[in-house]
Amino acid sequence: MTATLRSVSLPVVDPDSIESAERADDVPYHVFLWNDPVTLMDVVVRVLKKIFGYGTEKAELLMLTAHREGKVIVWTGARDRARQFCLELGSHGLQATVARAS
Amino acid sequence: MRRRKAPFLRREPGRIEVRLPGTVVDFLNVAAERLQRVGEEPGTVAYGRLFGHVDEGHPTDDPAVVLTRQLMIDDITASVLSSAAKSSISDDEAEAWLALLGMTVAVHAAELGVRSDEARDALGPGDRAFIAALQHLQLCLIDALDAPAPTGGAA
Repeated sequence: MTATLRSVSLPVVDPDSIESAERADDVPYHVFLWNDPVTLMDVVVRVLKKIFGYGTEKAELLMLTAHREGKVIVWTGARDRARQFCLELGSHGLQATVARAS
Repeated sequence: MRRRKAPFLRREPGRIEVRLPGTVVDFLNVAAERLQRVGEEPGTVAYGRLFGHVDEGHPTDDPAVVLTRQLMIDDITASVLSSAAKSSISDDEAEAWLALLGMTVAVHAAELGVRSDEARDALGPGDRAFIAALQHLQLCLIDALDAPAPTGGAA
């Protein structure tokens, strides 16, 4: 499968806002999954199982927590991996963000 | 009473038979082409939904993140466009169809202003039916993807 890179609008980044790689590597990041009023629960569960390899019980618990609380931490770890997971969730229509674990 | 045919059917390991009306196939093509263009439309609701901010606490996303997201969308839409007319698709293609449907539901709902369960419930019957149809296709795809392959005999 091939992908053609076309015209894509990229954000302008202030270099001062970019954390140093050393600092980013040291701190774990959370992946947050946000509640979504139109994505079916079965779809969310399957996506969580596929992306993270979770079992059905854990995936269902995370989905229900997001549904009730508005968001849930679905994974914690290195920032680059967290970002990748976040993008994979987004490619299924789910809303996700990453944030430094406090 | 006639029994409705499943639109997707697991036929053998790694393959799924597709039994969709031509209008749905046409829709998949249009949806894929639409999603391909979203990355070129900053400032639109669709862009905001698909290219939403990843890093909390940062004013803008790393350009590499935006590019990666675009490449993922391009991969998915390319897979759908190359397989939409097939009568049998691979599991990887079916996963791309599932992802495309998920993004299409999300973008459509966002463009309708749906941000909450209440807003979703307040949609008109036409919009609700459209979203329900996409969701039905998602569930049928999941059923087919997760179904065991037939063990032999006539299908």
